[in-house]
Amino acid sequence: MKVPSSPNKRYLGGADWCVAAMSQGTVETTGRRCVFQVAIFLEGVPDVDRLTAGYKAYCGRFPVLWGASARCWCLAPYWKYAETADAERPLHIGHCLLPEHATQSDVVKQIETLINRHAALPGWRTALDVVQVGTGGSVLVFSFDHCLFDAVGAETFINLFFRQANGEASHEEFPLARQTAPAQLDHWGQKLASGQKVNRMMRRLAEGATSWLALPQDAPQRPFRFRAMTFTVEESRRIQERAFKVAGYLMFTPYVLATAASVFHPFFSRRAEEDAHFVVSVSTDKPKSAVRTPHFFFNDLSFLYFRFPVAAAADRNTLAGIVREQLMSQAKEGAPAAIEDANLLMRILSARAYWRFLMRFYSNRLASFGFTCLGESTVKTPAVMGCRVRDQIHFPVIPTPPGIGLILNQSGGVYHAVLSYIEGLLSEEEVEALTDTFRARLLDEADS
Amino acid sequence: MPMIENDVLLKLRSHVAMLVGADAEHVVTDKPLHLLGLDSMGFVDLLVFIEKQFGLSLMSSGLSNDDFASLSVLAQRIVRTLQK
Repeated sequence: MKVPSSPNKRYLGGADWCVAAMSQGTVETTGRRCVFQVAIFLEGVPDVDRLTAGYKAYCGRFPVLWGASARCWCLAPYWKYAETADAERPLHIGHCLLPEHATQSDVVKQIETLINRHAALPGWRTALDVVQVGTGGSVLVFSFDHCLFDAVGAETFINLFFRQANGEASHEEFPLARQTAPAQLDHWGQKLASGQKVNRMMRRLAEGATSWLALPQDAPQRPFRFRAMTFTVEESRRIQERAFKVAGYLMFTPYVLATAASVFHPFFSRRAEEDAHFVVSVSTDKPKSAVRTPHFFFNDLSFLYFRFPVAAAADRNTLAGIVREQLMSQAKEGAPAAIEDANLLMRILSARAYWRFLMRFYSNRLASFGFTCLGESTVKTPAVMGCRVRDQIHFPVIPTPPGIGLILNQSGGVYHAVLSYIEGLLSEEEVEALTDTFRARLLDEADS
Repeated sequence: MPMIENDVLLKLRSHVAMLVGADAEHVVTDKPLHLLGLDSMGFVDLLVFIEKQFGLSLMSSGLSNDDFASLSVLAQRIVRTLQK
């Protein structure tokens, strides 16, 4: 069979279609798309006009940004490239000013406002807002449509923009303007077997699992809220040491996930049977090729699911062992590849139908909260237009339901964690308790 | 370097290259695994690869952190275990 291909289209992969379905579901539930922001904290304020004009010009090099998803005669969904990347297409550029004495919490509130505004608007793929804090500092808030970017892709995109803004980028660093990908309309037997395998796995996970937190009745009117937790270099080093001691060599993600699960545990155990489980969905960004043709569009994600018995969920160290064991068994069973294959199969459904299928099939059991642990950032540029890059933090809109999640990112060896949730899901006191306990437990302050 | 050890090292190097999105020649064999860009998922993937490729269950073979000092050390360890 001839595999369809065209220079004007890029067939969407399984992870792309899963993200499209989650984004569609989140729109239906909250009125907001799955978007995320990467906030780059700078020392000083760059020339805002030059920076924003530079971003417009930079984005103009990528017609993929002005594309949209469509469906081929062969039923595979694809991304249709625009003919040209003209300046009239929606690209949000903003600039706002906060007073000199604004705190990190004020900045996060501003980021919340921006993401809630952007996430409710259709059609755009990226945005840049410059949040100026007095005259001494600024935050470049890049927003991305998750259907087109994953976290690592977004970081790589920003890094190249910074290099260009600094006059350091060479032509070879720019990826092909139009990348193609095969429709992957083959190996149907294998895809069907994978679908069956994932189905069994999901049913096993959902059996006896607690349901997710009840969303507020007026969810579409509720904004997303963030609570950022930053760690110093010394604290970050300590977290790494504790991860090594508790979970083992190169087991940082299991350590953080176990810590998060033990902290979230009271919210679920309160209404669960003693022998119940709660399930956590984990997405991980696969590394994008740094040597071959560079690329930063679309999703290279792996999905994993972990099931924690409520009876053990308060004990972080026990949970770390459970995560390690389940990670190993999922890798052995080829679960991430099977999920990717099953997602490829599900491209036959529209994103909306796929979301409804997932909701009906798993009947409010998957997942209690979302979790992502990103590796060291690929934004390596030390300064932008003469302003030193001080920090960077990821702020995602979490697929809803469950509408609550935790993301941890690392830049320059320093960790940042963000709790993202839809307003009304947790009270202010619960958010305080959750973030304080997570922070202390990650540092092992309570146990040491 | 004995032939078998070299073969094991080549296989490990090419698998790690695939995991970290690099070309095999850019994957150094004398540095600890965490400096090669491997994360927890990649590390577990590597362990599963070793199990499937060489028929070894590293998790239950008394593996210590010293065995991950580098890909070369890991290859030596695999060969030693295979020869037992």
